[in-house]
Amino acid sequence: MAADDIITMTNVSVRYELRNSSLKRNTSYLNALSGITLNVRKGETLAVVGESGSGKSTLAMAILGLLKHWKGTIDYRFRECGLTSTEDDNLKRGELLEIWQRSSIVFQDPYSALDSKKLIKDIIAEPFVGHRKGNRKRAEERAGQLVEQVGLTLDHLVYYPGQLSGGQRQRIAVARTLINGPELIIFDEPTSSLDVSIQAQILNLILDLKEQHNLTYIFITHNLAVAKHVSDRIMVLYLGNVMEIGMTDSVFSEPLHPYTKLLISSVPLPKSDYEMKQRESREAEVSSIAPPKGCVFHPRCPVATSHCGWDSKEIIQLIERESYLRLGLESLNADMQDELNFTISAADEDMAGKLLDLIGEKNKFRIASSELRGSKIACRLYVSWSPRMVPKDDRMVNCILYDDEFKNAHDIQK
Amino acid sequence: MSVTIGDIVQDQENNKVLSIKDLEVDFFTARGRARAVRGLNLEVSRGEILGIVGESGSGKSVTALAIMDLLPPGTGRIMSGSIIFDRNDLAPIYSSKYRVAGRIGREKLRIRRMAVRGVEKKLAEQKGRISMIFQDPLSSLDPLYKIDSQLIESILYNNEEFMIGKSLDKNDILGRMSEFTNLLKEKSTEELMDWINQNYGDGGFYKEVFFISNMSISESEKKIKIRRALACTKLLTPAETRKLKAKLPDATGRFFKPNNRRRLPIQGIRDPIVREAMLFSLELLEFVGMPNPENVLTSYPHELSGGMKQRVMVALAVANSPDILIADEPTTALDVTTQYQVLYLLKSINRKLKTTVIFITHDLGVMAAVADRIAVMYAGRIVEIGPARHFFDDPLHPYTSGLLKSVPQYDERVRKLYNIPGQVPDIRKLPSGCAFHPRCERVMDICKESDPVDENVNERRVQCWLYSDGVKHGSR
Repeated sequence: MAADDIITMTNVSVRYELRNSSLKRNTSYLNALSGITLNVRKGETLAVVGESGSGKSTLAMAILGLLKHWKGTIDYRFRECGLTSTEDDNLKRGELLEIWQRSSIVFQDPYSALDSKKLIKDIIAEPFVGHRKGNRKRAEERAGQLVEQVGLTLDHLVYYPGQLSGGQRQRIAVARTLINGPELIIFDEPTSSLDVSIQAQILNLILDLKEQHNLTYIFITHNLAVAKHVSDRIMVLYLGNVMEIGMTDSVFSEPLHPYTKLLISSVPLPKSDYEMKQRESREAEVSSIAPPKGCVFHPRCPVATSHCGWDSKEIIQLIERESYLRLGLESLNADMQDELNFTISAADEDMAGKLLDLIGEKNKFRIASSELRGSKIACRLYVSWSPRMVPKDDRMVNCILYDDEFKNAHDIQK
Repeated sequence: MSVTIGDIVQDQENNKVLSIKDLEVDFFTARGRARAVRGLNLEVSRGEILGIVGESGSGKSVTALAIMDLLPPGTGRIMSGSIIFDRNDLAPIYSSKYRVAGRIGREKLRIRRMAVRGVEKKLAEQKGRISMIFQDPLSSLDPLYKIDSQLIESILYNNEEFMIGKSLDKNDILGRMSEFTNLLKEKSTEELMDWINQNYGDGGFYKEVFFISNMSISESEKKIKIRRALACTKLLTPAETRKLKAKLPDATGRFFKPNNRRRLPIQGIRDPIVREAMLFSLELLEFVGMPNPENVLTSYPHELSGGMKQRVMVALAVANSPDILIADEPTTALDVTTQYQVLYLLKSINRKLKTTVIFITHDLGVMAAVADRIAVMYAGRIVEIGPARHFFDDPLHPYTSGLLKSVPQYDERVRKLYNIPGQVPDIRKLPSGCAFHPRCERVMDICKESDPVDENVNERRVQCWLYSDGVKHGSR
């Protein structure tokens, strides 16, 4: 680990248990994060973007030590405090308190994040008092300083949260995180419930405070324009996997991973010459409970290759749909031997021939070999390659298209 | 203003589908009277996408609810103004319902009741002609009923006539199927539509084929869908035909009792009208580009993802081919990739079905993607309205330019975002004069004292003293 890293995560996986029935049989798991390796450098702002369900918030919880069951290693290198947490050696209560003094979080919804029965000064002072940093008087002094730093007045100290607007509440939430002099602040969608004009105020405040207090930020958002505005580096998550990580400017000017490309091209720009284009819509239902094999993005990927992780079930579904549309077949009689081999039985040899033509066409179904046996067609798929993080230019990409080893093995031209 | 209803009706002949004049909506709350909409003037042309932008509390959703007669009963009330749709002023119809609610004598009550029945009849004429998509698709679908029941309910209630016509037309075509099969082989979908139009008119089967022809699929797939539409129809007995024909002239819609037992295939349904409605709901889901529409029909709302639910909402909204579709922040709860698809769908519905869309959002990027014309609302008024092409390059009102500057940009990176100082005013205690003056950079003395009036600048309308000739000359 490099000297200037504040947090290093190695191979962190988190899965949540889903109990389907009260009898606790057939428990299934939701893979929130699968094997994340990440370092956060001192003094940078790292943006974490992704769709809902991609594991952004789980990442924040893992860093703050709020999860009970997880795998991997997280190293914390705060000033005067270095800690390591692994799945076998979870942090003790005292160690967690150390981390919580030095790192803090701002939540999305400023309405539910503040206790409505407490005065603002008590809300801000609570972490200070709770960590026994000083007495009440000292805490209130600090609260006064911070309230002015976040652009409110001392009068606001004796308000209740109900008397403040959304933007003012979010300022209070930011002030509260600063009271113990943290080194790392995690923002979990801090502006997504605010209006545009208020969002600009809060973003400016957040960036100003970073310079004043010499902070490190992890900024979780689904708004790519905001991510681009605030961050130095950006990490793109999809179904608990890192897809691409690199410097913000280069990721936005030339995205490498197909998912990053899709994400960036989906954001409508407030420009008069912006036009929407028809996109080849490849929709697939994906869930973190049974994530796709190989690359998790392959069912939606517009440039997926034959080696991206297709299995018999997916391909049979594709053929079924196509044969209904093109040949008018109501149902397809397919028999799945294993993940890579399956047989399609047609009504007669004539139909089998037609189906074979359909399957062979432009290798649309990524089939390695198909063979006609009477009125049956035996199909075999390519063996899939699992993608891994590979360096490309100044960043890391999780896609086999940029993997030299894969390219050499299959001689793929781009 | 000296505009009369007569003038506006005249206007509607000239391509205006909806005109709102001086609309005022108040909310009577425990903490006082809130003026949510204060004198709103808006004209919507046929076939356009009008975008309404504004921050929360600017009155954009309340305007939509007022058009739909969905204001919360008891608190929200249309105080004055008119909403003219299809030459009828809806505002007095809507507000007359409130007057009945008061404590009145028995005889008066009888008269009022009759008046209400008149009102109901007038409302019945409007039903299904304006539809709305809400922000949160989960809370707009009934969690207890499957998607098919919810689609069929809406179709039968608003458009039973169409289903009966469809059934009769197709029954007739089945009688001359050999002729139709030849047509299907030889002619393109457009020619087929002409043929159906000549033989059976533009209701019924024509409308169904119209939906099929507007799906984004290949020509051969469209033909398969047309063939399926015929194959799924029930062959009627002469008695049933007579019954349906007798029902057709005064079909006013019927209540469909949703149940969850029914399953596909469609062949299992006995009632010809329900069967047509079921088939049509399948076609609607195909029209909105739903993957696996057959499975979706028999799913409960919770089994679908956010984007799919929002598509079901769009399908429900276009089911009765409305004149106006109001979309109130339809993509706020969705991911960017799904948002792109829903926006594209709404735009293609507007282009293909010629539906007028009123699109409400606070996201300026979304606005750029869909809107032809953009209206900016602030504190219950439209402060600027004009074509989208001018909006982003040359905003007029100081609030509009402030909004545009405060959005983080993609291509240029500024260290500090511009921000409009202060916050949106409380609509219970609005500032004097122009409601924006406490936050305005270019505030003048007159702004604090009197309300600005509409000024026309080229094709645009702006409500700001900066553009008023009198003030300009006066200040010189």
